Amino acid sequence: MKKGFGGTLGRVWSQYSFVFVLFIIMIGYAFTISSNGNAFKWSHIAAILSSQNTVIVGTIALGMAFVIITGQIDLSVGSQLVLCTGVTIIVFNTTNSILLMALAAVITGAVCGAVNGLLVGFGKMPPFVVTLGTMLIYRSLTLSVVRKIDPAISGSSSSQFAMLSDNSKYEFLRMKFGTGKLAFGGFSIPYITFIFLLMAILFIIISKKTKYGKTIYAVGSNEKSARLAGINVTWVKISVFILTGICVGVASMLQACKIGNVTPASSGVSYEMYAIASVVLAGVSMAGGKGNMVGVIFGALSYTTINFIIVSIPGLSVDIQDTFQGLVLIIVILIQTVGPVIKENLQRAKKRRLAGKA
Amino acid sequence: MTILEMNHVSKTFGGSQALSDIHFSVEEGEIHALLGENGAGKSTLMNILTGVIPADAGTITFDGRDYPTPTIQQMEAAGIAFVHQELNVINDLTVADNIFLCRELTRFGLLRQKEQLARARQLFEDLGVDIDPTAMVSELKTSEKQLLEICRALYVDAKLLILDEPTTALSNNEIDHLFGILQKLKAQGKSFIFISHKMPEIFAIADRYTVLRNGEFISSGYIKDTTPHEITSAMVGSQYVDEDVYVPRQLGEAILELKGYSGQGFTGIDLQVKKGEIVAFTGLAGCGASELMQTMFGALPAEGGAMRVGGRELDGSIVRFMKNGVAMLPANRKENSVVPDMSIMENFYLAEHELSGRRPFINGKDEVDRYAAQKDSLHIKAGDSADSILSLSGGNQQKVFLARWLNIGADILLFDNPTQGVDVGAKEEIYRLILSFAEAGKTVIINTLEIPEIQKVADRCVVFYEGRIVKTFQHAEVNERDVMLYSTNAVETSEEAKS
Repeated sequence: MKKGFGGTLGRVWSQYSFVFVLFIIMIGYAFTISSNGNAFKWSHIAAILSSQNTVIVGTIALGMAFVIITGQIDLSVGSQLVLCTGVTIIVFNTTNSILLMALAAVITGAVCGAVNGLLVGFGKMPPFVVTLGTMLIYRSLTLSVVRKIDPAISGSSSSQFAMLSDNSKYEFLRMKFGTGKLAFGGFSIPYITFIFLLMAILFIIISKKTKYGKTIYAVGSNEKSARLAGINVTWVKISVFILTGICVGVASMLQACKIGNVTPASSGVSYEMYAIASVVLAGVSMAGGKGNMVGVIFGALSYTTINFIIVSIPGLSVDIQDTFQGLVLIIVILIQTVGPVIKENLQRAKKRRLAGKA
Repeated sequence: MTILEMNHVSKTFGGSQALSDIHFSVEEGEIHALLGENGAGKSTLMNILTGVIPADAGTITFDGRDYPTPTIQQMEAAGIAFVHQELNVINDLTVADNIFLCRELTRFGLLRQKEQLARARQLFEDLGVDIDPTAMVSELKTSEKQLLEICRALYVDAKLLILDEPTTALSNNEIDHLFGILQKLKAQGKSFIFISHKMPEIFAIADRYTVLRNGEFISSGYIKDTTPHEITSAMVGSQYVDEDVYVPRQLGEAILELKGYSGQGFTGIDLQVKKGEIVAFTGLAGCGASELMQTMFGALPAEGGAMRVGGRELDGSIVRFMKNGVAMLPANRKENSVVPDMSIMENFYLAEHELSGRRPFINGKDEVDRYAAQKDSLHIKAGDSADSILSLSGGNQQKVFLARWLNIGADILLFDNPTQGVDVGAKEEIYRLILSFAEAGKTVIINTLEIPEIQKVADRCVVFYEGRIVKTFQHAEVNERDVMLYSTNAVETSEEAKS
């Protein structure tokens, strides 16, 4: 087979499209900043790195990517985040223990994910419907609790869970860790960004270096073949929901430390869509079976940057922002999916011409 | 009166002659059996008749008119209906809706449902079919769906119906019911082309027959003047079996035992297989051999009896069978073996990982060594093991999946139709490999429809008919004609005819 320049470029594009996407979007961002009369500086990038869209949504997107690679979907992550953060803050307020707080976050997330997973795996229900249901359930459960609970436990009297600033560990969690930065030279990177990156590295290792990771791809690529190779398909499908729950748990720790509170009625709304968008920008196939977990880091950064661009365009009203977000998303996906189709059509036409000659 | 006459029909695909100079005629009011092995040219002939593909040469005369270049629409309008083997009814509509699909009775663009129901009722009454026109098709039995499809064809006043293996999914009672209706329609002057492999049915229902073999017309005549043996011989011919690779081997102890084993599509299977033996399962499509094989690997649930490997009873999940050294290469490679988004290497090691899950990390070097060993011994022609599995030819893909199972150290290998979609050269190689596995003390069971394949490798051939073992041949006894006689159950039919 001949591999021309176009072929090589095509392959690199299809495998690492997420790098190009981020690069192009970054250029766009730099352009908008300078057209506003400002210089593009490290602080702009640091803002992207520490944004909750990168850190919190990005962490959730790691699990979401696994779910999507198996050919499923999880719509409940935004509501899960609210529920987990609620529990996490309650545990902190009542125990003042970082360890118990973190444990509570991860366990609550895992349980939420397990509920989704078991309903999908054993109930044989479509993940879309199951997680649509739990999306409503998790949020409304949290809402109904926050209105009745003692403010001494919830930390707030205004339908919110808030970390109690009287607790001795508050200072460390919020000021040192949650909003603190690691500075070196002229650069600084927020601590919580490292948590996201650590999680990302963990998920990259799972996906590339473990036997379990390969089963996720196999199930998404061809479920029947996977089953007949001895893979326990039901378990794999359940496990990715649990892993997503754990990601949400970690994200809820970050939410608590970075933001300090969570409002069940409005926090985490549409986060499932943001997470899915990050995964898609990462080049993960919605049909399952394909996707590089490294891309999810880039996907999350790209998504955040798109938001920043839109916000920094002067004169763009808040109402129209989602339109632009949607447009950018559609254009990127169009390039990713339509590109190969056009290529295939060209190849087919070429074949037909050759056949015609013969 | 002759309703259909096809003369000198020829067709080539690419370089191969699919049909050459075929003669085929159907009388009005007769049931004509069109017979031949897979690939004999039956479907090609029927596709030409119904206008799906054009013939290269030949004439078609139907109902007194010539059709030099028939199209699908023309032939439908002329009164030819094709009832396909896989039913084309829509499960989520009612029976009446299905009959009137695409030819709905409407007034001002709205359905005249009462009228449709009344006409459907009338149609069923005329035919003696007992189906409720308001029922959902999903609730019908398979035989009723089959009848519904026939009724649909008759509603448009088809004169000639092509029934492609209409009884595959039917029970004996249902077949009787269907045949009753066919007889009735025949008396009304409808004609049928009946495609089937099952001798008892052909002798029960057909008036005349035509046999094709390798795209050529072999014989034609009245069923009452022939015997199942004669027809089978005509279908099979004296086939040339090329180079013999079979060598008799010393067999070991019995290692695999089935006792009264039952499951989906087969019942009461008793079988003992020795270590190092190669056993072939064969039978018509739907005879239950493939289902048996899948059940022996845990892919389908067993419903009764027991399977013992080395004296140990086995059931449960696929992994449990794998742990006990059982492996299955499933039929239909693309659907059941290939993981299309993965590399050759990943496709290779997936199964082994399920047994070595205690060590959760992939040891790259170890996997490379394992793959290299299998690649050498199986002669897999592949470039980089990181290339996509789809970059390989069918034969080499199949070898990768063989390697997948040898890699788990399985010693009972179940191969379901292993040479499907594999070219001739690679087939030969797979036969040699199968023999070498047996030589090395592995036990092999292969399920195949190709009898020359059995003659090449099998120590024993087990013939299935409708979910039961009807005959076991030793290697020397295997010949195409006898195996065909048993797999079509022609033996019983001729015995019945004698008594």
